[in-house]
Amino acid sequence: MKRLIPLFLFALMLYPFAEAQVQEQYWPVEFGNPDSVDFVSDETIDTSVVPEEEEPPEAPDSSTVVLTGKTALYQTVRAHSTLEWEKILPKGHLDQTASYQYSQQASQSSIQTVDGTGNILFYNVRSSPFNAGLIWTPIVSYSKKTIESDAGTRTVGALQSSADLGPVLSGSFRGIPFTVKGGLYGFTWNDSITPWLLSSTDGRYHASPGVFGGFDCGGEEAPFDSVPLWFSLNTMGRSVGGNNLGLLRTGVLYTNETRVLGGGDSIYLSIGDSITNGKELYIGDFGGNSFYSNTSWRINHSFSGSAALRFKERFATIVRSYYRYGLHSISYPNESSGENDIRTTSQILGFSARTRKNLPISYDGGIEFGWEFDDYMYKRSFGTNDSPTAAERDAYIINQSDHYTGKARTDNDFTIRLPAGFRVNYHLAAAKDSKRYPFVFRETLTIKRTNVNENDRVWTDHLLSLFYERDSSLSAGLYGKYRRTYLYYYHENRAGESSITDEYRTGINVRGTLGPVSLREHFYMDVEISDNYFKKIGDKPTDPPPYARRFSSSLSGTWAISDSFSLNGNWVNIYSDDGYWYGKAYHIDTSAGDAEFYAIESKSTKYWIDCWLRYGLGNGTAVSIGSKFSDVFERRYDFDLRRFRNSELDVGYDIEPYVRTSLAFGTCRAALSVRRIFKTEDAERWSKRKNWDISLSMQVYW
Amino acid sequence: MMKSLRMMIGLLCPLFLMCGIFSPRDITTQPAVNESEDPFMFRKLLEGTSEMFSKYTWQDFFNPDCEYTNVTLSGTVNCTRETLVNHLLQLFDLYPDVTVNWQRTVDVVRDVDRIQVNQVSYTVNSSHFTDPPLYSGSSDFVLVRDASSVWRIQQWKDYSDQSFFSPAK
Repeated sequence: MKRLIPLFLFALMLYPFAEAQVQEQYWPVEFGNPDSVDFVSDETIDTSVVPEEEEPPEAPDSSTVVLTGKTALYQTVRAHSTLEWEKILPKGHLDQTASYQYSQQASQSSIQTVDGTGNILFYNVRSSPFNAGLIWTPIVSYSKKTIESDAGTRTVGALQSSADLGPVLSGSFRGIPFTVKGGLYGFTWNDSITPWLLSSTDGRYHASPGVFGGFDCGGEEAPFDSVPLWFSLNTMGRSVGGNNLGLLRTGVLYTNETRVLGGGDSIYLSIGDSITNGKELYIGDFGGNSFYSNTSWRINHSFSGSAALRFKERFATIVRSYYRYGLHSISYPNESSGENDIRTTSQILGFSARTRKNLPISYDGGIEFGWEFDDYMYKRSFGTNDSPTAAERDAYIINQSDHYTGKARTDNDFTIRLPAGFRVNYHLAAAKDSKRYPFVFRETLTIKRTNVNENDRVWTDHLLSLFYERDSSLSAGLYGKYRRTYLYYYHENRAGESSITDEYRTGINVRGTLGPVSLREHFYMDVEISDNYFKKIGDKPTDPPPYARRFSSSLSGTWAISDSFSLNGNWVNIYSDDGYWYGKAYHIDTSAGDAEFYAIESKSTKYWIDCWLRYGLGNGTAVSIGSKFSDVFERRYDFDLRRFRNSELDVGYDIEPYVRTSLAFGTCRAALSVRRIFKTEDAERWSKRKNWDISLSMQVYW
Repeated sequence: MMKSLRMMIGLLCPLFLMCGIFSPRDITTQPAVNESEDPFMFRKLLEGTSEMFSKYTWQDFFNPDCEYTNVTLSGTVNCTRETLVNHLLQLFDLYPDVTVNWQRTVDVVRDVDRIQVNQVSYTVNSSHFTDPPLYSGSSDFVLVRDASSVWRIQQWKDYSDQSFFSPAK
């Protein structure tokens, strides 16, 4: 009853807001910017299929070629080269991509992929309002790996290729853009090919012809002048080798000014739905051998509906409110047991407020409430008092994972601007996830099964910061942060794992410039202390809770010797330890008395110093020469020796000289980095062929 | 008006925290002493030694390379930890109310990281037995403490012609 009083007060205080606030941080992405209506939602609407080449070309016959290449060589060899050619034709355009990727790991396996995706499109074919053309997506991939077994070493390879080829038609109907495409699809593979392509195979070659088709319409333009409504529809189908897969995706967004409290307030409505239905081919690996198979028939469905209000600025404050309903389900129609089917329904209600940022005291934040239900095997119904047969027992146990999650989030940011460049910021955030497992059944007359994972997870963050800024020559920030996390379990089987964790951090950031020298320092120290809710279970003390500390300093500086030369440095030092807190309550042996102590089990000090001299020409061309020195000093407590012992990581030092260059001339950009890693404990550290880290990237336009 | 608005917003935050929205529910259940994970009462082996097992879970009682040996008049049967634990789990499924009474007959032999518990007699009871107590025997145990200071059974020699615990009985 006592808890209802603040809730009632809270409701009273909300009343002047006339039912509407929305949380800035949680504002749904589809309502992102109401002025420009950017309503792309991850789940519901994909605008990537919207035709992007509706505008007629400005300069006929012009063409662009972009060549990019990246190569990295250190332990793993990776190369990725892409040639993109865009040709503007007198009445259309041509896009052609040629992409090659190569990746090799430790000489055991490698994969090479060539992608030749392209399309050609002619505008206003035969003076019609439609554009027509052709699309193609040939992709070839070859993977190779070396397998060592008792029978010896052998190398196996797998070749896979696929291609789409077909016509495409695009245009607009009553202002609504659309695209229709379709054609042939082919998929071939050989899952046991020798490294020498085409030299010999053992006949495990397969090919599957197929077809594909798709239709997209709608997009970023509102199709109706008088109605602020946007929509998008995407469909795609593919059939190959008896495996069919269909995709349907649609979304609708309505935004308008409303007169709830006066002009300038806005209302938003959004609905999105997507479904994929079918099977897909995939390449797998079993015992070192590649194989091709198809996934199970799967139906994946998502739906979301949202509504929101945004009030215009009043008293220098904007308030918002929104509600969202979501449904997501996955089912496998071929599996009669339904053991892998799952459906999640969710609802979210949010409120927030934001004042103008230039006020002496400003606020930005809000609160959000959510409810979620995860329903396993949702197509079957289970009685809570059933006594399942042995055959049904597994299904009942899976259904025990059904759970409700109650969610609450709040995020509040206060800023007070003080004279002389000072600013105080206080950030308060909290979150709660409360899980309940409702399904209980009788396994036998005497055994009643319940899910033991019912829990609450709650954390609260307080962050207080003081900032000072004096033009661009000096700025500093001092902060303290405290987080408390509760993890409580409510079933007797797990209640003993309930814990409370406190995390403290304090730090300082300073940046200053004095003439040609600028320095930055970031120092912090933190500590994490846990405590068990129950310090004894029965007559036995619970395990002592974990405890950890860390100190970190990062100092970096630059000395601008001249306009072209600068000397740079970076020195990072981190000390950390962790172990367990042996409070009096956790003593197993009572002879230890009242002594309480932190038993450190591992200590570590890491540091590195990086110095480099940079010569820059100011037009993107620069050379840096430097070296990095790093070390890890780690010790672990040895329970046999009863003392700390250096760990395996605590061996030698790393010294890494390097040269980095970046070049810019004309339409060409290139960057080259060469690094050599010397580990003092590596017997082959002087070998000329080892420990090189080389990467090259280049981009050319013409 | 502006001032009162900001004060109102400022007051909301502590109210959020005070009204219980961001507090966990109280735990009203006492944690169960996990008898069900030690139905065979192995913890009795260390009773009176000022040492104890760190966890009463099936796997944690036994070292990964633990050896179980059943010595009978007709020969011996050896098995690994995995086989033994699987067998114990099956026994528990069959006899969920099983109780084992271990009785030490001689003092333990104690070393820093090793304890020998020899000649431990036992009787096994369950309401599912038709004629209790049906099973009894005697065992020798070697327990060792690993690098994490956790005690585990390293050797178990079970002397019984009709051993309840032997996977190959």
